[in-house]
Amino acid sequence: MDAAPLLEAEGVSYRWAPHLAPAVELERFAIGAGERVFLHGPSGSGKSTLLGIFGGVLVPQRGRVRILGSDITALGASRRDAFRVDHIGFIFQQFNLIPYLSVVENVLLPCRFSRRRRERALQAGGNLEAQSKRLLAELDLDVSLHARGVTQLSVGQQQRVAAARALIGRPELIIADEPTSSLDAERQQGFLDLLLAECEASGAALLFVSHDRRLAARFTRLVALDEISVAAGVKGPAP
Amino acid sequence: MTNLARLALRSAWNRRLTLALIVCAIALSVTMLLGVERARVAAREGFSQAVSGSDLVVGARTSPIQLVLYAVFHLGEATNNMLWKSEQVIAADPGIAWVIPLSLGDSLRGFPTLGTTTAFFEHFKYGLRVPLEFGEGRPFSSLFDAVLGAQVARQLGYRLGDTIILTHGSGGIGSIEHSDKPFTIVGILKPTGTPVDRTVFVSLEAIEAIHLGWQGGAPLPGFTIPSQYVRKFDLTPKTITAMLVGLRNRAGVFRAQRAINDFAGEPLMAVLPGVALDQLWQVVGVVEKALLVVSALVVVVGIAGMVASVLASLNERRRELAILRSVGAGPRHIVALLGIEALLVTGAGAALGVVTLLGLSLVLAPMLASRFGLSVDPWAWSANESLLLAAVALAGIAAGLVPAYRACRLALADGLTPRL
Repeated sequence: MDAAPLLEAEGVSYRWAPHLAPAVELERFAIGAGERVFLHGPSGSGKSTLLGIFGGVLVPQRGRVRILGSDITALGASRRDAFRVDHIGFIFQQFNLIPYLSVVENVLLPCRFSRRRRERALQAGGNLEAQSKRLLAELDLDVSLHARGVTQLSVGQQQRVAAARALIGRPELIIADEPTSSLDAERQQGFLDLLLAECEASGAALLFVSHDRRLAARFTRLVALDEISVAAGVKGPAP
Repeated sequence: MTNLARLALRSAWNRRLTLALIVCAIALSVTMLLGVERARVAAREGFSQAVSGSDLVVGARTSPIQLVLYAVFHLGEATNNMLWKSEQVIAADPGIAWVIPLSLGDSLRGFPTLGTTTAFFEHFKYGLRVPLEFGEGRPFSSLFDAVLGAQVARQLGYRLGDTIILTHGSGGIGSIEHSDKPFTIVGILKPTGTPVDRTVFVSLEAIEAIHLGWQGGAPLPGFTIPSQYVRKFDLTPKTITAMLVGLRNRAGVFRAQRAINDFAGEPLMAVLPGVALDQLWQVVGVVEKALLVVSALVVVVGIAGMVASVLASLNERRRELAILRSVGAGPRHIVALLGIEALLVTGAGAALGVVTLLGLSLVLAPMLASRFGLSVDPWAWSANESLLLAAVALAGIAAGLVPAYRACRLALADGLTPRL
């Protein structure tokens, strides 16, 4: 890859507490623009910690993480919060949605916190609501579900709403943390197809984290966490 | 911020049942706090205005508070009486406009009887110099006429023309009744909210008449004088309990007070009723302050309930906070989110409390005035009440920051994956 990578991590080390061994010890890791990376590792291998670092929620004690040329480890806390929503969309394993908001309101959440996401969503034409509905329709969610309370949706439907929320306003990077693990095998493939198609359509890079290698076939790169992170296997502390 | 406010509103609406209960708890405590404050102020005003327009209260030497207790509140008993002669001398003084002689010692089923003259109905004032008014009937004129205070009439169910029998002393077991000399009710006063409401008024002569043939506080055995013959006796009193004095010129009050304190005929004392009432309030007012403290504690309990329930719900909301973090919410957003909720709940509670207070005041004001003599103006909003309300609001918001701080800590520790 010639251009500067979208995300670039160097010498990153994170410990949950000074007396604990590092949960992540990363020499070098990069994601190029539009790349689809499948990151896998057994549970407890520091995946969540690593995603927290890439999301700018956790600050590593050592090392740098550059996204789009900005060193997010050097940003102040509120700048990191703003940077995260401006450039990254998240999909979690489950319980992705805020129960008291409607489907459309959940999708529009990033636009509420980020002017950039709002403006980019509006560039695609129409108003925000129309944009969110278009995304939902592309993710195969029937219009009749849009106004419904999110708690009435099935898990698969909820995950697709979460995908729409991650994608709206075309962030450069989508981070998906085991988004299919609560779906059955058939729906896993369907969800992945939709997600990959949408990432391609919006030009976003995808960092897809899973312990299930069977899903890896359609990614451009497969990375095993225990190969890149020396410290993999050290669990974060119990809360 | 409007986004956050909307989020906070939606979140609050989602938990509306719990929050509604907390709003009710805060509303009730606010109603109670302000209600007690109102009752306190009304009671204090009613108390300090139990007598007005009288410049001096005069009686045999005792403590000023005791003199006021029996002369104004008709409570307790005088240790010493003053001579009727002295009353005559004082009344004749050119500086003195009017006097009201007071003679206590009998009662009607627990309500004190006051022997006096019709000057009482003419000159006695209470509150902001409000004169007495008759609800029904007229002042006493005949020897065995009686006038009832409003509460006496209502509580005992007496009407004009009814016959009453007075009891010697303040009533109680073994009291002797003046059953040989019944009185007829000729007048009932309007409510005043002062001790007047609890008093039975008869003439000084009547007090003499019912004690004719008595000696040492008991009737002489086998010696009764029927009612129809009492007018043949000299019914001029020998002694009275106390007297109220009105001056022609109020500026001379201290001189008049000194003159009475130096009275040649017998040891007398004159006190300024306002001063003595204030002293008395300092004794009684402690109760009112205690009530206010208790209701402040109720407010604390209400707010503590809010904090506890929000704290308890935080664990369930950790996912929600993580999602908000992932879409760019920072610690300050989370603090704001919970702060707005505390503001909403406290504000709604305070508003509901004020509305409840107003409603209660409107409904209860007539009853409070007629039954307890507390004059409460539902629409009067005092600076003190504003202060109390502001204190409640501030306490609520300050307390709301406790869960906000906790949520912030949780969100920071959790990052994007709540570790439940």
